[in-house]
Order: sequence, then structure tokens, then C-alpha cells
Amino acid sequence: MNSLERVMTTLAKGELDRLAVFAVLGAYGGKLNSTPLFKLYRESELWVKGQMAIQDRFKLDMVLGTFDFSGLAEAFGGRTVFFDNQAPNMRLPAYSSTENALEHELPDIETNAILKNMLAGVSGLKASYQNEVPVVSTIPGPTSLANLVIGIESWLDSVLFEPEIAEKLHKHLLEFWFNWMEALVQAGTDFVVVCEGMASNTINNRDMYLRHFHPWIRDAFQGLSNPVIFHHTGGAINHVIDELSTLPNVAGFVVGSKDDLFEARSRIHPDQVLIGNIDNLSFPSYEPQTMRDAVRERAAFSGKLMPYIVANSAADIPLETPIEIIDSYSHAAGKCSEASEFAKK
Amino acid sequence: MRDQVKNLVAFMTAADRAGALELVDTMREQGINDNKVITEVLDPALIAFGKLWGKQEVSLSQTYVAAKIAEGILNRCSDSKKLIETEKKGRVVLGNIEDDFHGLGRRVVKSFAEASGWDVIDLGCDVLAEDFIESALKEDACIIGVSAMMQTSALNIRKVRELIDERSLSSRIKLAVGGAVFNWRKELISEVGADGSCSNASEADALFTQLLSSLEASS
Repeated sequence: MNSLERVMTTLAKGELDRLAVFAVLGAYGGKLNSTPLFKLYRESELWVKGQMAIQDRFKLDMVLGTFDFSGLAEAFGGRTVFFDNQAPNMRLPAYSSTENALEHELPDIETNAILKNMLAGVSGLKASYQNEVPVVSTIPGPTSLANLVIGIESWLDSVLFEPEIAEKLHKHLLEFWFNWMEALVQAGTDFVVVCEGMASNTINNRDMYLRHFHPWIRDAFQGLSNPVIFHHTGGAINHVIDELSTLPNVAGFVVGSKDDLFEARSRIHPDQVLIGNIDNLSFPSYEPQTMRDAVRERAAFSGKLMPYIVANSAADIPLETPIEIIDSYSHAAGKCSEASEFAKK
Repeated sequence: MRDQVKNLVAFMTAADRAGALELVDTMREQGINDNKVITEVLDPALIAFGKLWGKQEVSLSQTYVAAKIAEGILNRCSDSKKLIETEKKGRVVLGNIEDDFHGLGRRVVKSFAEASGWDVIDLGCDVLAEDFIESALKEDACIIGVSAMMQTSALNIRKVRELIDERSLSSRIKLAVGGAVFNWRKELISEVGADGSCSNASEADALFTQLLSSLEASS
């Protein structure tokens, strides 16, 4: 069973040779290949080489398309800051206000250099891994894209105090969102992960989320032509996961490290896959044995969680994480190889 | 005033800024003076709201609106604002550490701290350790408040601690830290050498007060 078959079999709730294992390792490819991070994120062939190094070393059941939301912000006209020791961040959004953003055109996916580079990264990975390892791409959620265009403070201000104009911007940006999703799929993405920060409990409690964001997200998801995985982004999403579960075209969820996996399973559709929930911030401080235990603990209960994929929660695993720890992580998941070890629990 | 406090907290948790400001307008029309509005309604409401955060019953968006409500009330109660200007609790230099560009939490802390009577000098995002120190000395601040969202950038705060110690400023300046990563990894607070931290903006007043007291006690 290769990785793509393993993931597809997980989704189909079929019999597995072992648990599938994901990890968000983007910048880590630069570490493995000694590639400066600003080059890694802006030269697709280096990104592909980074993912290949990760795959060679850790044998994960996924490779990751260029994961760089600051690049999306830059495509709109924002500014990026690069670091030596972490993924890039948005330094400044493109526009200072909702009104200002509405006056400008959306970036052209076919001509924008940053977007073309991201798509080339996806194509390169697809060419390398074909039907063996799934290519996973990330996209901001439909109500989080505006964070990258005008900044979270301006966006919250608009949504909460000027909802009519916020809705105009949301609809304006949706055109890009659909086109970008389609472009990622056309380039070779097997699974799109939608990172919707507005559903995180750290940003919105249940009432605020349902009142201000959920209706827009539901409308957006109704227009999707492919199933997606919903990602909590940071914090937790169990407080709204029952509502998210009813969204159209949602194949599963990446939940937070503080989300209870059993609670999540009980509140979503039995066919929706559950992914997570190992705390990514703890990776640097784990001992190899602690890491193995964290994976095995989930594997032991995976029979009750299925369909389930082991993964870290939140974003990139910190770059300072020793390579041996990620070895422990991937080996522990890979060693849950006998179906009897987990499927009958 | 207990009912007004309760109502104001309810408007904060419902993220209803218009309702909150209407409540304050009504109180002022009824003859309640601005100073009472601030000290007997707004301050207790912010404390009560902070307790809700402690119980994880409110989120960032509600806290953001609560900060906007506090700003709005302070602007309306301009007489009291003047009074407060002369009775500041102390001066705080606030900023996001070098390489950190997540400024929303910091701005909410600024609003809450100002509403509670602190004089806040906001240095913005991506502030060098040296600039925190220079600004604190120039402004005669007793507290440096440093915010970070990511672990990598949070570790840059160690430089602020080093500079405070190198320049023998620890009896003059206390280092407070905050931000998402400190809520998730409490051990980072001591790792970066902070004198204290709080998990949300509404607790900033209590933290700053405690740090100021410890400075006064040691002098």
C-alpha cells in the first residue's frame, strides 16, 4: 500500500496496513537541504527539493505544496518578512481598510510571479510523486483571506461594526478564493486544506462565529467543486465542529491539540476523517520516547477514531525541533503497522 | 451601580458596542458623573470581563470589542479623562518584540491598560530589545510590556532581559510579557526572563500594578 492508497483507504474506511501519518513540515525542507528560507519559499524547485528531502527522511503519507500565506498577502500587494529560523510572516497587509481594498483589482493568478511559483511547486511535487504520495495544498478560509489583505484588526472592525461593507469585501475576495482553489487542484493538488482561523475558539466563541462568519463560510463551501479538509489553524474547533460538520464538501477536519479527539469524532459525520492532534509547539521540547508515546497513545485508540490520520496540529513544526524527534514521530506512526494493533481497539 | 456593571459586561460579551455606549449615555443623562462611570462601572466591568476570559468564556473578537467599548467610554467621559490624566498609575512601554508582527493583542492591551489609568507608550511591532530599553529610560517608564505570538520571536525577548540586567535596571524597570505562545507554553515566561505575565488584556492592569508594587517595595 503506498501513501496515496493508504490515505484514500483511510477516507473510504477500508482496511489499512498501518495508520497514515501527516506532518506540517514546510520550512524544515530548507533546514534539511541548507536552503535559505527566503529562497525556499520563492523558488519552487527548491521547495520541491525540500519536500523530497522530508519525504526521503521521514516517509510521511503526504507532501506539502508551498505553504506560505504571507506570499498570498504579497500577491495582493502586502509585504513579507523572512526569517532564518521560521516560516515567513506578513509584515504589512496590502491595504489599510476595507474600502481601500475594494478599490483594487484581485491578483492575476496567471501572471503574478509569487502565485505562479506556488503553483509550480505543486506541479513539481505532483510530477515527482504522481500516484504514490498525495500532494496537500493549503488555502486560507473564505473569511480569513481578508486578514491577509487588510489585516485582522481592520477585518474584525469591518465585520463587527460595518457588516455591509465587510460582506462586499468578502464577496469581492471570494472570486480569487475560488480561482485559487481551482488553480491548486489543476496544478496537481490531491487534497486542499482550508485554514479558517475565524472558526478557532481563540478568535471567536460559538455565538460570534455562528453569527458573523458561518453563513458566509456555508455560502462559499456550497460553491466548491472539490471536497476539502477543514483546518482549525490554531487553538481549537470542537466548540463549533458540529456546525462545521454540516458544511457542504467537507471531507474531514484537522483539530487542535486541545480538542478532545473522541468529542470531535462524536460530533462529526462518521465518514468525515479526523486528523491531528499532536501539539506542534511541543515538538522541540519532546524527548524521543515522549514523542513515540504521544503517537502510540492516539494509535491505541484509533479504532474508535477512524477514519483517523496522525498529524501535528496548528502550523509548521518548529524549525528548532531536532531531527531525531521527527524521526521518532514518523517511525512511531509507521510502526503501528499491524492492523490488529489499532483497528481492533 | 451593580446592575450597570452587569449590563456593561453583558454588552461586552455580546460584542454590542452600540448598546454599551447607549448604556453609558443613559447613565450620564441620569446625572451619574464621568468619574463614577469610569471607576464604578467601567473598571469593575473590565475586571469581570477578564474573569470570563480566565474561564475561557470569551474570545479574541469579544475582547477586541470590549477594548473598543472601553475606548468609546473614555472618549465620552472626557471630564474624567482629564482627571485620569493627572492621576496616572504609571508609565508602560509596550511593543511586539523584534520579528513579531502580530499586533492586535498588543493594541487591545493598550486600550485596557489606558482605561485602567496607565500611561502607555506604544512602540508598535518588530521592536528591537535596545529600543525597548532606550524608550523606557527616555520616558521614565517603570514597566516594559513585550508581546509575542510565535515561540521563535518570543525567544528574542531574552535580549530585553539581558539588557535590563547588564545595565543594572532591574530595580527601575520590570519586564512583563504576553501573547498567545505564553498562554500555550507557560514555561516560556521564565525562559525569556520575564518578571510576570498575564493571559489576557483585561488582566494587564493587575499585572502592571503588582509589578509596580514590587518595584516600590524593593526601592
